[in-house]
Amino acid sequence: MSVTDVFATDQDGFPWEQIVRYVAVSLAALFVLVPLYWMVATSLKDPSQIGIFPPTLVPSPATVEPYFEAWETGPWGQWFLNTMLISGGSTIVTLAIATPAAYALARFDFPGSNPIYLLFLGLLMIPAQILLIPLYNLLSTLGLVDTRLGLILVYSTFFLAFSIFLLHSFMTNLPESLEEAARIGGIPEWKIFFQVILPLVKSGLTATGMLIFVFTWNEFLFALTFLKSEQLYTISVGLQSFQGIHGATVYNQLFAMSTLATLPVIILFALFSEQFIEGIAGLEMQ
Amino acid sequence: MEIQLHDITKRFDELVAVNDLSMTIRDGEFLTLVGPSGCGKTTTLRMIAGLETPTDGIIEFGGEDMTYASPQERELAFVFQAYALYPHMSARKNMSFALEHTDISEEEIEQRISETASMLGIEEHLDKNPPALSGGQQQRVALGRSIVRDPEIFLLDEPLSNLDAKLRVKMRAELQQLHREIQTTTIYVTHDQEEAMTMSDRVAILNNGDLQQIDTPEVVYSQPANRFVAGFIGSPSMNFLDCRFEESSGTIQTDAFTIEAPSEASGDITTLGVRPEELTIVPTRDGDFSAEVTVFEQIGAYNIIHLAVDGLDEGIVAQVDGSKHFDAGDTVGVDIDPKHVHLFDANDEAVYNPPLASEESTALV
Repeated sequence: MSVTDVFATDQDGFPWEQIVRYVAVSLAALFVLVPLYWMVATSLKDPSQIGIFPPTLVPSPATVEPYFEAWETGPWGQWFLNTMLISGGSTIVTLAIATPAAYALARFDFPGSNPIYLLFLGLLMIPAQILLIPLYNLLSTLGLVDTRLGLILVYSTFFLAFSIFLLHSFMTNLPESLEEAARIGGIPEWKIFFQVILPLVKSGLTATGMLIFVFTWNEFLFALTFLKSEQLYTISVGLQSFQGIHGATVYNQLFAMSTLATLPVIILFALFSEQFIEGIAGLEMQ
Repeated sequence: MEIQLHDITKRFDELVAVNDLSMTIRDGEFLTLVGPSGCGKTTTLRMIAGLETPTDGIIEFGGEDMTYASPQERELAFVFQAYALYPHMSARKNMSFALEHTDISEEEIEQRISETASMLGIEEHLDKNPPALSGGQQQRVALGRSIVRDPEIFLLDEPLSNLDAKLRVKMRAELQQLHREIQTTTIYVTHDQEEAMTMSDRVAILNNGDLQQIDTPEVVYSQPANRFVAGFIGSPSMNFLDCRFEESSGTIQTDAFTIEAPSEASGDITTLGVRPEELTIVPTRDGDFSAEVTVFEQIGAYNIIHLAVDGLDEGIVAQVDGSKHFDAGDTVGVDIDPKHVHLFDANDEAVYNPPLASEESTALV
């Protein structure tokens, strides 16, 4: 007997199945939202409400003071800008390389195309930490340690295989007759790529791009390793300063900056959610 | 533009999709490639388009070797079975897209689109994207996209198979009219023998990658080269009965009846073929043999009866006038005109076919 049989509407017509679904979804939502709520709530508390037991669930009084105090602790404007440049740069560089590569692998049967694709898939299995030291070596040889460009290249390397894998799935899903129709129409290959293929994998590009952007926005280990100068820090590296400089962690300020750091990602998602979901759904349909 | 195929073979690994195919498609001709699925007709069309490269053989357009030319270089038009319209572009943009890449002026493009759109009756739909159009409208846009390019060669791959029956008949007539107007060499692929028969100047029948026969619809219908063509062309299909040819008495004998053999009959004859419409239903005592009606199908303009004959393992099918009605269980007589039979040898090759109806009528005059 399957789960749905057990919870299917019984003879009285009681909607068991519906209830179970709602409870499951609510639990999942709670799981995600509680830490988020805790972050925002703590960022609005004054120091007297922090670290006490039992904890106060709702900040009272609520104050935005921690936001102003936190903003003064470091060059946050610069750090936000750095993060924006590095995440945006990594997303653009990765997509610019991965998209044509995925198209070539998905559509052109050239010698070695299959082994090359399998190699990319294999790269996905290598843990990032293992690449940390070789990449550091390579970048210091190139004189790119402690530069934004260096970190952009590192992130792009790291995300290339993943992006090729995702975009490859989107492209193999497109009917080949579209390109064939264009070829017969006398349209050159580059124009087919830009005007037929790219517009049709837009949702796939958006989904891939957002995954790269969000991951690099939050990334800590590589940023900490490759960035030395304080003025080049990203937000995630900057946030750890709340631990170091002041001895004990100043939770309300840490969470205030964390909340601010989360906002751009949420705004981005709100702007592109439709295409993002369409993209992910497109993958699932395969 | 004349197209010549010389000994074209296409293999996909072990599978031979097209086997040593040679044919000439004349300038301005409407030629249909027809056959069951997997017979190699679409592969042949795709090789002509440059979407597949032949494993062996040469393809020539107007005498020029195009075997390895890219699709872009061939300057032909292709209508796909699923239309392959660009879903993110309006119908107008779908039609103009290929022209924008040429040196044709914008005014000229505009003019060609509006002319083609009015010829196809899709003026009001030019600004819609394909997903907002019905199947028939998408079909017309796909045709329009090909027509505006004013190609020398028109290739169509089962363009009507996604339409409903009524629209299919309508589009069939429109395509014929279109061909009369633009007079472009056209190769049309279909698995539907009725489409092949109604639209084409000539029909090429393929099976398992081999060309079976290429001729006018009248000839492939009346004088099929072999048993495959005889069975494939015509609906309902030709009846085939095992038979022996008695040269001494000049008769064809089956397990159930004996008929007079046509005077031209000779050699090793093993199969008698009779089209359902060539069988005449008569009172029991007048027929060559009698049969029992097992199923009666009321079509309207004509009706179909399935018959069981004592001594024959397989049933036979006859086509009768729409005014005639029978019930299952009725016993009828069946008359066969010896002039209108088809005789096949042990290799299924035709050894006798009736004369063409057109020749018969001239003879009468």
